[in-house]
Amino acid sequence: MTISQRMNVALLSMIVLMLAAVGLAFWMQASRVGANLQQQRLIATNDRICYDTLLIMETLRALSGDPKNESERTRLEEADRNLRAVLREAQDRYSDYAELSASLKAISEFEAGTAPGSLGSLQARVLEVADSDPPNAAALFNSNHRDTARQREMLFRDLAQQVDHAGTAISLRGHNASVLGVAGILVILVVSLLIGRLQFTAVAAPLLRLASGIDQIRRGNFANRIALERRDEFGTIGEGLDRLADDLSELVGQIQRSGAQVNTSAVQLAGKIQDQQTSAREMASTVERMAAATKQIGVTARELAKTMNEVNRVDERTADLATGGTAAIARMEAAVKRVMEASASVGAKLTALSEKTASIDPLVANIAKVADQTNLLSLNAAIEAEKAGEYGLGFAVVAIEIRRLADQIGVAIYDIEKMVKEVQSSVAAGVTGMAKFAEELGRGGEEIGAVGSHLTQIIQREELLAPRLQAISENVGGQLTDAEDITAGLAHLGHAVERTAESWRQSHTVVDQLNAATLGLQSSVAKFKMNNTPVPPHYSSGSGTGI
Amino acid sequence: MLFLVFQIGRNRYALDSRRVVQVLPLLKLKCLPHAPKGVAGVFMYHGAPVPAVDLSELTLGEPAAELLSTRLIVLDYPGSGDQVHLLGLIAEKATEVIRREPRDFVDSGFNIKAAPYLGPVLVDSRGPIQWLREQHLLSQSIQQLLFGSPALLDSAAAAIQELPSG
Repeated sequence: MTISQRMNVALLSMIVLMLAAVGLAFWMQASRVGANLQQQRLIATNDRICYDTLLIMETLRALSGDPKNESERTRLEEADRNLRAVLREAQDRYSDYAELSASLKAISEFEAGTAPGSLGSLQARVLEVADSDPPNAAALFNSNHRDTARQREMLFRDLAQQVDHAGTAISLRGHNASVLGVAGILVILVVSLLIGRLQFTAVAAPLLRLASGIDQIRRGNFANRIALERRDEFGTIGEGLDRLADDLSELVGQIQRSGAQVNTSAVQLAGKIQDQQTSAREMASTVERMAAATKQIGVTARELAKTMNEVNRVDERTADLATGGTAAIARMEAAVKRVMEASASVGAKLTALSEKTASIDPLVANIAKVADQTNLLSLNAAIEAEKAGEYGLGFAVVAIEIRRLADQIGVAIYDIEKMVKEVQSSVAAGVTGMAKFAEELGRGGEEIGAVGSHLTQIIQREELLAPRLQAISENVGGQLTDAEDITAGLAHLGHAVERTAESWRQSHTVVDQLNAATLGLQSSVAKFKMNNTPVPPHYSSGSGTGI
Repeated sequence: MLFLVFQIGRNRYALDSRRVVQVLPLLKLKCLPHAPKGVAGVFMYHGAPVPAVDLSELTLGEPAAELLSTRLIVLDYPGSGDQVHLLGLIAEKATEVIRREPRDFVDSGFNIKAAPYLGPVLVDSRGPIQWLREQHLLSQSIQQLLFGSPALLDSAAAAIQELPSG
């Protein structure tokens, strides 16, 4: 069903429902008004019956008094006729209400019947007496009308009660009708709301989905599809949008892949350029180092040339000096030998002295022991003498003297010991000093001998050296010019390398720009979300064929 | 009166010579195991064991230097009652006697409870000399140890007999 058909159906059903509601409202109103009318008519009928009955009673009263009054007789007949008509009509109309009908029937029997006390019998008897015996008519009426009036009142009360019941029933029916009508209107309202809701969902839901799908595409998210699966206009639009998203997704995917490939190539290119730049830089530094080394060689060669000249000069002088030196050294050697002999004899004498002083030591120790013993002896002697009292006095003096003597010996020994120690240490120092001196002398003599032989060798070699030195001098001069040439060449090479490095640097800048551009492209494409669609084979091999 | 003069550390002290039995050179001593500080050991004197006290170690805590002038003074030590024991004192520089009267000594004015053996003081050309009261030298416990059990000394004497005579 198309949207327009759906709309038309909805509109028609709404109109029908509205009409039904209006009809219902009218029916409600009519039934209420009808009920009111019926009620009023019922009351009017009641009133007419009462009035006519009373009128009949009144005309009968008047006729009983004046039987010849024709107008009263006419009124009686008219009232009688009216009452019958009203009763007949009411009985016809209210045959549905059984109790009311019974009440009406009782009244009509009361009016037309012949039962004693009824209006019919009273009327018949009063009219008969009035015709036959007019003066007794009033008495007859007066004697009978109370009974009739009582019956009439009972009938009237019953009628009024029944009329009231019937009125209530009628009004209840009207009320029921209005309740039914309201329920019907409510049902119609609910149905129309349901129809509206159905219509809304049928139209608004696909519209919302379409809107959200468009929004997703606008944000660059191609991962979702609308897929309405409807056969109406919305279905067509959704399908179109899905196809558009598919196309765009494929296109963006191609752009992304191409961008990534270009970026990879740019990065690789940059890396290669970097490598080449590095190697160019290394080359430049190598050239610089080479240049420096060559320069150094030049300088060294120059210095070498200068040194060679000096060596030449020194060499000549050395030859003279060396010849003089050999004779002096021979003399010096002889002198050293004599000194060595003398020092050896001094050393021997000192050693002998040291041995002799060492032999004093035990003697001194012995004397010290003796002095100690003497001291001890004198102490004990003095103590013993003291214990002997008067008799020991002289002995005590001797003992003290002995002790003093021993103490003096002790002090002397102490001094001797010290002196001997000093002599021993100085002799020992002398011995070692002499030994060292002799050693030094020996080494000096050897060195002098070595110097002499070296000098002789120098003189011999110098004679061989002179022509060679000359040759080296010349070679060094040649090297100097070569080194200068190399330096100049290297300087040229260095410039070339620098230019190369500069051009690499520039190309690096270009690649950087390319890299930045591809990165920009990638970032701008990256905001599109994609389905994980497999890459078609022809995109993976070629670069940029998708664009 | 004659006094035997010796040194403890750098200070000179005097001992009443009447108490001194003999002055001996420093002998080899048998040490007493677990002996209190100051008790140097036991030596043999005329065939009897005699305990020896190192004055330097007893009063200053350091043993006396082993020199020729360091000697062993044998003296009579008054014990409980009338008993008299022989006691050896190791003293440094015990090489001198002096003759003085007791009144030459002046009261030092100090009365140190831990050292009741310190007596009055005499001053000569080389400095002060303090009288050493030998009878107060040993504390009660050391006396008990040295003279209270002859068995200990005898066992020590037996050990000395076995030593090679040097």
